[in-house]
Amino acid sequence: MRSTFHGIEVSKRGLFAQQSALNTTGHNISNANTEGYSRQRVNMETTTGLPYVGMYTSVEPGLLGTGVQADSIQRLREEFLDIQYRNEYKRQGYWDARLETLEKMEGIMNEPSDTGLQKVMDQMWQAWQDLAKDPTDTSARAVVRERSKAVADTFNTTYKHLQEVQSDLDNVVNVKALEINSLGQQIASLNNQIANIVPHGYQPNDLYDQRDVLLDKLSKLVDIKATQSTNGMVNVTIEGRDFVNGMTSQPFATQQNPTTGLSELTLGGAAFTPTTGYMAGTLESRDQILPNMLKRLDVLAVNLTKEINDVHRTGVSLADINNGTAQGLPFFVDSSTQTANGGYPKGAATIAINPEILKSLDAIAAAKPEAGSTPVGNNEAALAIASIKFKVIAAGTGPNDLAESSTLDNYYRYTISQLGVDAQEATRNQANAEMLVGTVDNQRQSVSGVSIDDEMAEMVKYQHAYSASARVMTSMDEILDKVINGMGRVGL
Amino acid sequence: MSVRVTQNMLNNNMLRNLHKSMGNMDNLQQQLSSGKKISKPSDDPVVAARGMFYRSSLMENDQYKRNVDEAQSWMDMTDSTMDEVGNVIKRIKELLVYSGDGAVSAQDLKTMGSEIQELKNHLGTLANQQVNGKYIFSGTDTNKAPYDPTANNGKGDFVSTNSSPINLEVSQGIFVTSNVNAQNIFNYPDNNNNMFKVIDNILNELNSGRTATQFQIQIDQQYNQLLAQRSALGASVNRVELIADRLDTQEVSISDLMSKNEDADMAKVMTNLKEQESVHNAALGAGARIIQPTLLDFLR
Repeated sequence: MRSTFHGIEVSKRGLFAQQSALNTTGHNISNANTEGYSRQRVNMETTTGLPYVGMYTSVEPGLLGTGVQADSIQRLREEFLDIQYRNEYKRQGYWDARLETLEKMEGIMNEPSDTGLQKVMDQMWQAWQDLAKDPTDTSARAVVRERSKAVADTFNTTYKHLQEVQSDLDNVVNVKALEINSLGQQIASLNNQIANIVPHGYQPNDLYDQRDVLLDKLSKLVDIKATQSTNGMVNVTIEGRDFVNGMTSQPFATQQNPTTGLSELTLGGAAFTPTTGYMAGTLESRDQILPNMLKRLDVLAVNLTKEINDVHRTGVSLADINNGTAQGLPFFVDSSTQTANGGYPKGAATIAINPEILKSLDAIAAAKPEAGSTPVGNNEAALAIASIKFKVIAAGTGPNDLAESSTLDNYYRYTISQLGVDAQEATRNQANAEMLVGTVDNQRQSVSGVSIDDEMAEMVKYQHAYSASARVMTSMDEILDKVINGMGRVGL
Repeated sequence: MSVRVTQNMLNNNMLRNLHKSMGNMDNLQQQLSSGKKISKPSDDPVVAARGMFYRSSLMENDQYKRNVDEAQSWMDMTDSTMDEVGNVIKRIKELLVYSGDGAVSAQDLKTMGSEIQELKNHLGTLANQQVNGKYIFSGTDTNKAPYDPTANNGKGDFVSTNSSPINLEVSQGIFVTSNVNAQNIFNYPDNNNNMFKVIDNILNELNSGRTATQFQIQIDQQYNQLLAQRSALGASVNRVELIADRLDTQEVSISDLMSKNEDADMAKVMTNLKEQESVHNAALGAGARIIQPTLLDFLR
């Protein structure tokens, strides 16, 4: 049996339900630009009907509707797209990291240009040719010394810059490890909040959104997998290793490798090496890309200086001719010894000009010794050094040997074109990954994003439903008014 | 179900497109201001490596040209000096023939002797010819005068025994000798019978009032040897000229290759830039139109 005020009650439910829908619309519009926000929808359902009992029959079938109620507020989101997004995002992260490093390296190597190592080396070979033209000329000697100094300086600074990039990357590893650790803690803490609410039958949509944003961020850095757990919580694993389990997260940290001095990752106290994501890209840059380039510079520097030294030591300088003794000085020495007959340079970072040559230009050997006394016009050593530019250096297996026999110029050009190819690959892959991330994000936005048009249409809909409910209530009011105030007053 | 499009998607897409078109413009701008197709190896690793190679080749070529110039200046100086030596010897030959004339008095012969003495002194000066302060006839002993006017008891003689060549690289692995072997000119056939010794012998005879015609054969030998050496030098000069020509051609062709390899086609770049500009403007305009109106604007 319906009550007299049944209609008012139904209208009231209508008002409440439409109002909550309007509120949700407002919430959606307010969060139109909130990162990671998914639009929400009020699912309305009819409330349980009353058996309609007629005045004359008690078995008339049918239920009397009792109105509407807001059943749930649903977050519109496609989990599958999240998985896809995170899959692509980790790839983008990986190529981002590599590309950043390779671009920096390209900047440092600065080829092809009129100031790069190639040009400086070319100028040095020219200087030796000029000295061959005029072996007694002091200014030609000075030019040889200055050009060679420029070569040594360029090797030194290039090497140092690359090393700086490497230690920079080590800092990045530390910072990003902290970030990953903090993301894990935040996810665990959100899990905690969610698990406190869900058992009471609530749907903490906004907390879910916040957590998904954190998971997105995390997915760029490392390869994660998020699985649903009890009470709305998620568990996160990084490449199969436990990271966030319910309300606790494993510490993600770095520790310094005592031999290399570089930071290494640990997850839950045990060593961890990521294979993809920004972190892996950074580690590969630090441990492979840069060391490779440093190694190649070393090989180039060691071979270049060895070839020049070997010839220079068999030559005689003006000072030797004047003194009648051949000193057999190396042209380049290792800066760690800095002595006239000190060892050959051991790497690109430690090339230095022989201090004897810095002291006196006459110590440059342009001549090959001749039987008896060597004439000053002999230019054989200078010619031989200048021709090293075209000398094919044999391949070897030693630590500083070339892998394939080639000229020094070819070796360097190959190094640069390899760098170019690597950077090109990274650029292409990064662009592709970025595009894929954009595409998946668009798809996600298509499902979860707030559209003002949508919301306005909804608002109009709910507003009208609200007004109509109110109108129903008004008409109930009038009906009751008729019953209460208009009836039984016959003759009054 | 059709794809829902939201304001944020439009915004993001537009931003992405704008960034892309700005990136393209930046790239074109870079090409325009540098005149180069590429600015870093990753733009095109092949072009970059070849660019490095061409730059290096140009510098080598430039150096070879400088070396050729040096060789040519030595050779030119040597040639003109040898020409003069030839003239001197010819004059001596004339005087020798003249000295055979029965009508020439002893006094005349002495006068001839003093002329030949002067000619010998001049020959000494020629033997000590220098280029940039270096003696060209003393082999690699470029700082030592080959003719010593005080040698041979003050009579003056060619004292250098250095026959070493001075080689210059004029192309990869190709060397030319910039000096001549003066031993074959001034010390021919050996130090005891060389040009100056023959002249000394002539002087001896003339100063004693005797005819010196018997030295005609020796002087002829000297003269013929000089001519032989000079024509050998001429052959070298020709070779160096050919090399110089080739280096000039090579410079042009390397520059050409380098330009084709890395220079931006300005007309193309400008056209592309113009096109990109209009694309950018269109993107901006479209953005302004698409982003602005929402349903809100019409629900008043």
